[in-house]
Amino acid sequence: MDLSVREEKRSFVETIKKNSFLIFTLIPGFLYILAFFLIIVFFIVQMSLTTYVGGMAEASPTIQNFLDLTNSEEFKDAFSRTFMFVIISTPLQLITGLVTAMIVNKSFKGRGIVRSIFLLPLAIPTIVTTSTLLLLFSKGGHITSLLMGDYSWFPAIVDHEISFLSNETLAMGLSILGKVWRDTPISMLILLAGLQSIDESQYEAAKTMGANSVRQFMYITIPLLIPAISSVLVLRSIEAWKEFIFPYILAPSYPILGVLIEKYFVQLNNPGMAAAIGVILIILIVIFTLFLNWLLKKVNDLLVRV
Amino acid sequence: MAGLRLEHIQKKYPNGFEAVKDLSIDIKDGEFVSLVGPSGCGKSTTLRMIAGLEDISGGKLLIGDKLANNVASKDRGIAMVFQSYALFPHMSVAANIGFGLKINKVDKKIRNDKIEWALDLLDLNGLGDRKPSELSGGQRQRVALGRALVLDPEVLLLDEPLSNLDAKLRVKMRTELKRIHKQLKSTIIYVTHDQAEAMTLSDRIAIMKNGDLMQIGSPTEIYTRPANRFVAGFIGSPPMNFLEGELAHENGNNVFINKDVKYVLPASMKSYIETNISQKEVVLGMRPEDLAISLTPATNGIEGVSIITETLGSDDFVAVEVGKKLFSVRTEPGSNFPTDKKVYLTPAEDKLHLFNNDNATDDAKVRFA
Amino acid sequence: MKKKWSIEKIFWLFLMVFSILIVLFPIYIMFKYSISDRASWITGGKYPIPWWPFDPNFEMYNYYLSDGRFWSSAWFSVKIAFLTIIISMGLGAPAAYALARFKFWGIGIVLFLILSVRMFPDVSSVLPVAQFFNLDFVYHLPITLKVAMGHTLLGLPYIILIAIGVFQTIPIDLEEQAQVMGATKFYAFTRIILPVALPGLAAGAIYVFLLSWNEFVFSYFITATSIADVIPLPVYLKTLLGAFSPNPVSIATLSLLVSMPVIIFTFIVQKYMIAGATAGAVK
Repeated sequence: MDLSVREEKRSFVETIKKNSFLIFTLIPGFLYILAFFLIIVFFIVQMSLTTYVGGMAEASPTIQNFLDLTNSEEFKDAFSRTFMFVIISTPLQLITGLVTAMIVNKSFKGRGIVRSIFLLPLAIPTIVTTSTLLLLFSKGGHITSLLMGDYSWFPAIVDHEISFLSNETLAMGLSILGKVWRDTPISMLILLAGLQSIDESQYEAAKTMGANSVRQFMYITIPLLIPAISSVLVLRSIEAWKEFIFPYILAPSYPILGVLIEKYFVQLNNPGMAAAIGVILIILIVIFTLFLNWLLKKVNDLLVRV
Repeated sequence: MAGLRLEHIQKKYPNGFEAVKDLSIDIKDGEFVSLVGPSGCGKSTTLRMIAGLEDISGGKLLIGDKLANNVASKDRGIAMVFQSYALFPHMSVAANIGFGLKINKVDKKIRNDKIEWALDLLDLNGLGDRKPSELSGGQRQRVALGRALVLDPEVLLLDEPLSNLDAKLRVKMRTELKRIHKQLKSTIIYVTHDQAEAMTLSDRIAIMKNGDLMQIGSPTEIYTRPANRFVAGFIGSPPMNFLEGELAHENGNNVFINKDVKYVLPASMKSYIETNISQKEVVLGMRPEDLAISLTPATNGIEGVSIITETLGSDDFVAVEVGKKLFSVRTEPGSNFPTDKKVYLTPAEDKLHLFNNDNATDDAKVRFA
Repeated sequence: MKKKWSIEKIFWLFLMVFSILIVLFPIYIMFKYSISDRASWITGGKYPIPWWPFDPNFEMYNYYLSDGRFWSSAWFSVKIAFLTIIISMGLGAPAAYALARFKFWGIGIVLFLILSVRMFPDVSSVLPVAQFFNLDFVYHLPITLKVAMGHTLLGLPYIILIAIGVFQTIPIDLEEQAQVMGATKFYAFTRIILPVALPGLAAGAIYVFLLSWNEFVFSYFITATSIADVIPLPVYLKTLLGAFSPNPVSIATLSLLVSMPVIIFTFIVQKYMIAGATAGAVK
């Protein structure tokens, strides 16, 4: 063997020996994740390529599941619903997160309490939030009664009881409302970090040069907040694609992709189709995220000109 | 450009702390005035009150004869350069400089002309499209300056603008600032803790301590006739040598006495002492360059022991132990004054300084120029 | 003196109050329903649901707190949560320690792998995991362990991330000192490093507890496809929702009982959450 190769081999072995303890501590956790990662990837791909009948595997490998999906109206509807869900709820979360972050960023007495209150939606189990919304908007619930003018202090906006849960737009709207309510604290935290990294003297300098609050917001806050805003948009949109609980409870008749997976797996006992949808969902997330990153970069370049 | 007047300006915080106690300064149009003092003396607070970034607790602020206490920053006719420069990192140099003009809806052509003018004045030609992160410290400092100058302010406020630069750059920028002041004839208020900076740049220096004005006057005045011990010790490097002792009378002469020293004060000081010295405890001050050092005993001098010699190239400084104090005495460069010897110091009689010694607080005697 | 109440201040005050109301409203509704008497929610269409119950009582609380099913579900959730903490800490803390100390070229890949598990949608990744637990050789594992293993998969990446941060702030001098004095690396890790890291790791443990306590997707899918005679609380809550005419008082009461530990934890822990989120949240 070449001398240098032998040296390399020796140093590699030495490195292993020297760091044996560290390797020993790393292996269990790493293997655990690796094992499940492989299980997930292999199984889901294998499952998606297998057709099931009555819960038993029938033929494999086959792309029949995917073919069936392309012909499925249900799938196409679920896809468009999921897409709408993502592109509506994500910017909304950004706005609510920004407003709450700006409120919490100002210093005033009791700021800590307000901050804790704003974090509450995150603390409550999602299933609880969902059930509350269900109660509020179901037949005879507060909101439906409110809109009908059943409470003397509020005017009637509609003349018949709106059934939120049996109307596709309304039910989806409800899901979006719930998701935004629940996830705003996360956006708030990310944007708050960005806000706090802006030096106060920037605002003071602008103030002495004649910029009022609106101008300061437009020319200093927003441009310097772009990295945080990008983080929020990318991270939260990924989460939106993965959403399951809100639509599952509030709009079960109008499934989005995640809900559709449950239907096939648990109710119809067809893991193959479920896995196929899962694979498509993962691919969609990757494509969308890449696209969003590209888009944000373009916007960033544009703003720098200003 | 216009003048500026502070009348009994006071800054008091809700917890009772008084950052500025009672400040009255009259600044003429085109004057360069420095506010100098140690950390916490209130100089930055004063500047921020002038800028409108802090509320004025009491007193009147007049900018160009108009009462400005409740006027918004942008309407006061001031422009400020911050210690951290506060450049907008996402904007180019040109955009930074032109920001104030853009906000005030100045015509684009005029705006660009002004930006060009600023870039040229501050030696920033060709850097207009760069971002602040691509500039050196000195360049950034000049952009901050340019940003303020294009607004044609009545008063230009500078908050320790050179403190983030290295020593060599600082000296260079000092000259730049002086040149710009001369060229534009602007009214400038300059805050710094560096007394050398204040000395070289200012028409007048206002020295502050603990929210009080200690003295205001031209650099020469402050240097040669400090009003109190604090000012005397603050201005000048190496600092003035002090001896604490008592004022006594002997044979019709005023004599300075302490444990280690007995020095007869010159007759020329008699009238000064009569007017200004009100107690027995006094402080005698002598600058290093006003002391002559010799190995031969002097009839009326200060005894001490030479410890070490510091060679600065242009001067030599001998450290002399007088009692428990360490004096600094200037000598000819290369004189190689012998150490560990008994020496005799003779101060120049017209360059002596004598102050009341109030131990608790320094004498807040203020001299107006 | 400048005006104290500018338009801007009023605007923000209004926004703040409005936001607080929106946040607290659903929580109030839950609470209101949980103490409602029958007349306050069964209206038969004759009158709208009152904003405050006619005859508030804690009957439903009594019912659930004396209901065996509730307690067995709650206990099940607790067992799962603690088991999750033990497994994820046991795997994660040492792994994080290694990643914090061990400098080698592959670290980026390892970290990416650890994080990528969280990039898959829960509903997708749960399918193979649930199927896996149905395989012959793992089928007979206790259900608690199966769900806990699922939760561990979800929480482990976060634990590792948090723990890496914790270990990085511990100066390497401590271990070197111990080494010089003759201790083995294992001894140094368990007796010296871990105790110092405990507060930071505790924050991670709390996070994992909350994660497990609230977790629905994995709990649901795994218990639905394996033999499970007892289900964790979030899944139990869901069974109430699926009923033909859901009883809002039950739902609300159970919801609050499930949320209580979490809300209390959050108020205590919120300081750490802010600090943890801001450190490196924005790239």
